[in-house]
Amino acid sequence: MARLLDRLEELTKRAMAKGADQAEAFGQTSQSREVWLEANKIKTVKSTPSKGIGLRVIKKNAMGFASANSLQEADLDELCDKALALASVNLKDKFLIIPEPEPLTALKGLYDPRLEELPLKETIAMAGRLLKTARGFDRRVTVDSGGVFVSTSENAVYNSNGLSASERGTDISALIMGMARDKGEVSPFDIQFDGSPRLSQIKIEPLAKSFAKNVIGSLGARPAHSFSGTVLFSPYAVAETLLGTIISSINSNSVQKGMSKLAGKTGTRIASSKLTLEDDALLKGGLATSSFDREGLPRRKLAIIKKGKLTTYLYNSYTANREKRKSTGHASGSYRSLPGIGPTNLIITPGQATKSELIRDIKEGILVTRFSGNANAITGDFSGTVKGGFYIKNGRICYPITNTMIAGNVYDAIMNIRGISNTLTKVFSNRLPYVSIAGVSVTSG
Amino acid sequence: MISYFSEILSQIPADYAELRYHDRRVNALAIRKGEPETAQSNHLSGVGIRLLDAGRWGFSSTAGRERADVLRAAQEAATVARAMSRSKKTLAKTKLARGEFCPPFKDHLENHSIEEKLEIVKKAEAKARRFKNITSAASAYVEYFDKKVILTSDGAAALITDIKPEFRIMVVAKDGTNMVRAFEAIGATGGWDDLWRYGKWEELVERAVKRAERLLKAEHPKGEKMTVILNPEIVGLIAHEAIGHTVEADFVLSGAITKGKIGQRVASELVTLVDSGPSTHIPGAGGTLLVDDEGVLTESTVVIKNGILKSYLHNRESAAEFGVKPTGNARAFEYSDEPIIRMRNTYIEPGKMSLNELLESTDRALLLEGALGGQADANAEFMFGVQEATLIEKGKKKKTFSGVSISGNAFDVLKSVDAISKEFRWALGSGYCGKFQRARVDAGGGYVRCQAIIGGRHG
Repeated sequence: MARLLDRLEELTKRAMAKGADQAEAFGQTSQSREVWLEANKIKTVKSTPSKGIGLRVIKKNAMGFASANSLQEADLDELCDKALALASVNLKDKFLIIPEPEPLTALKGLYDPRLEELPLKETIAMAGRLLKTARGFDRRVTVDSGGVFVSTSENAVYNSNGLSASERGTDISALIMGMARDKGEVSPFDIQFDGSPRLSQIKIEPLAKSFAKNVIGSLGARPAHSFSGTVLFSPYAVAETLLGTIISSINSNSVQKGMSKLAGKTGTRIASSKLTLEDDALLKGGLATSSFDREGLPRRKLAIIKKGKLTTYLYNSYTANREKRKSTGHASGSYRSLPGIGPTNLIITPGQATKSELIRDIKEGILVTRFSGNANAITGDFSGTVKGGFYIKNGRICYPITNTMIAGNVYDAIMNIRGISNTLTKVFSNRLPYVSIAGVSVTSG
Repeated sequence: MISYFSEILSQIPADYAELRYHDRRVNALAIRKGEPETAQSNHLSGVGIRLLDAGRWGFSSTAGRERADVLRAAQEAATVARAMSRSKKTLAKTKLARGEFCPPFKDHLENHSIEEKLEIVKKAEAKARRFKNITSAASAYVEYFDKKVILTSDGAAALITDIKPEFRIMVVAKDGTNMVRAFEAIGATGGWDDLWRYGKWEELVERAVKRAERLLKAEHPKGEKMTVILNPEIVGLIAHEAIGHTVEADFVLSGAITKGKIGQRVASELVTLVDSGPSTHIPGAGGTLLVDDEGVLTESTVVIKNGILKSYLHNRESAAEFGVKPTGNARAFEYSDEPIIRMRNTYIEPGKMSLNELLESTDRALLLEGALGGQADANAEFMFGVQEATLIEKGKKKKTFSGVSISGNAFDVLKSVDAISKEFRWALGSGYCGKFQRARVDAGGGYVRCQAIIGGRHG
């Protein structure tokens, strides 16, 4: 598929010919086939090709960006003109930069030919199995929506410094969401997801079963009472409460623009020594695994928090240039926007205890399967409702709870980690454990 | 353009075929702490084709609008539909849109140059940082220009123009190690004048700054169930998140709590809740939709009338299943999305008393203002964050709290409503609703007094 890269090269050269000092083109093409479930039935099949180019130009220290979902020759001029027109009115910024190329190592395992050739009938059959397994587990289970989605894609970058990179990949994912209904009672919603670059790694039945188990298990819930205690967060709840705030505050752009509480904290203790957090863009089988980032720079494995100490922020080439350092390869985004900054596959290093041992260790607390709420990335405050929660007393799970909220502060919470489970669960692209945290406020009743 | 696509549609064999051409231009400008965050222009154009063939849905799409590409997409939609099993799905008949549609506006966005818009974004952000304690700020302006052609094989033929601008300002205030943020956002359907109808950018900046200053001194509240007064933003959030989603007919069919409750009392008799395509009461609501993406003319759908559940929100398929008229709620965000049931402008009808009267008759309550994200559940349990909570005692404002969220069962909360003020406002016009794809929505109401659980801290 040299064509995409050829178009990007042509676009970059045209932007330079029209007066850009530096230019970068990022292109994406993809073909996806999606089988959707709705209201306990297979609803529809969707087949969508997509493609697009985003052009970033720098002229006289000002930047402009334009994108279009077209690779047509005729549209390239319009892209150049629009990006250059925006650069001509934009504020100047001497740190703007288009990166120099760096050597890339091609990764294996991103592309599975079996997925590209997968007959639609098989994808439909997988969606059918997802539905049947969940419904067959217990007739009170109801599947609101979900599906099985297969896609093949190519990403490519070309820039005026001679950087040129392209990569093909495949992925398959399965999603199931819904609730349990028993007479008049409706349980909280549960969502389960599995995804992988390879067909052989997707697990339909276990996914459907853990969904069904969760929604049935949360029937018959009642309120607990209000107290401050230890909360055991499931891997999904860890993502929903803690991860967003951490991701936002380790973004070097937030740090540089005075919007991160972790500014000036590298090299210092910000969490319990039990916590080690890595971003592994090269993770085998990771959904966000790739050999280069949105700017075409090499991806890597990077420790962010090491035994409680903050080791680094995440950089793209612009924020790195402001500090006269190198990008960490975390430029993110699609062809539709400028390179931002974001993590890839986040992994919390497993701890020593099993999940049951973590529960046994709790005098009074709750297990939070899912968290639905807000986390304020700047203050670190989080507050929200517990979904699929259980009351824990003297080391034992007592009963499912409803009408319960938890509140706390992420920066305090990661200091107060009591235990981390010794197994990890796939949560979208991340690998996360159960984490128990002391001193969280529980409001219920 | 209608005749060009009509001719293509007539070539597509199926029981029902729907062709949607959508051309979208988006411009976005953003500044963060004095430096350019983005200046971008995006163009997205293509055709989505949806077919119903022996009760089987198929969907495909193509970029651009070339005849051969559109026919190829139709072929693909037919192929994928045939891979499924036959069913008895049908579509409800209704009056379909024909002709040209454009929401009313006076001062077209294109009368204002990109330089003028950038200047506002720049000045707003700079103005915010001139205030004491404000250490950082970010501002942004975004505009959507949409052109659509919607054709169906059973008679819809509409050419639709739609324009939606939005503006936001976020400020960060710091005092020692204490750090807070506050923001104001506004969005509209229509022109430049509609965007600023609730205040010029200067006022929005000042509101955000003042809120941040109050939050710097704020405490965390104690978690408890108590009387709350919701401002129009929070009322909009409840109407949209907590009630609105549970009455989307696809959700009802899957077993949401509202299933089988039409005609039953679900709220206090003071509550009338509406989801409207047109912008009622005040023009320019951000979710305004004159024709939905199945070609159905939208209407004002009364969901709850004086506390009684009256209607769900439908597309043509769910309307047929329930034996009712479609309500015009089928929406697709981009050409490559298929239409699904979505809300538009969702609100609680204003009451008769003034806000002052409402406050004066309140013994002790938290006034909740400024919407943060929110979520609802199939059982109508909801939760969302609020930027700021003010303790009202005997009608007087006493104290500000931060880090507050509110939760409860939406129908229990609506049953507890004992006062609604007459000050109606569209309050969530810069909001997007996510349900596999995005949708521009709006929501609002007057001020509402009710009971809810406040999430807070203990010892």
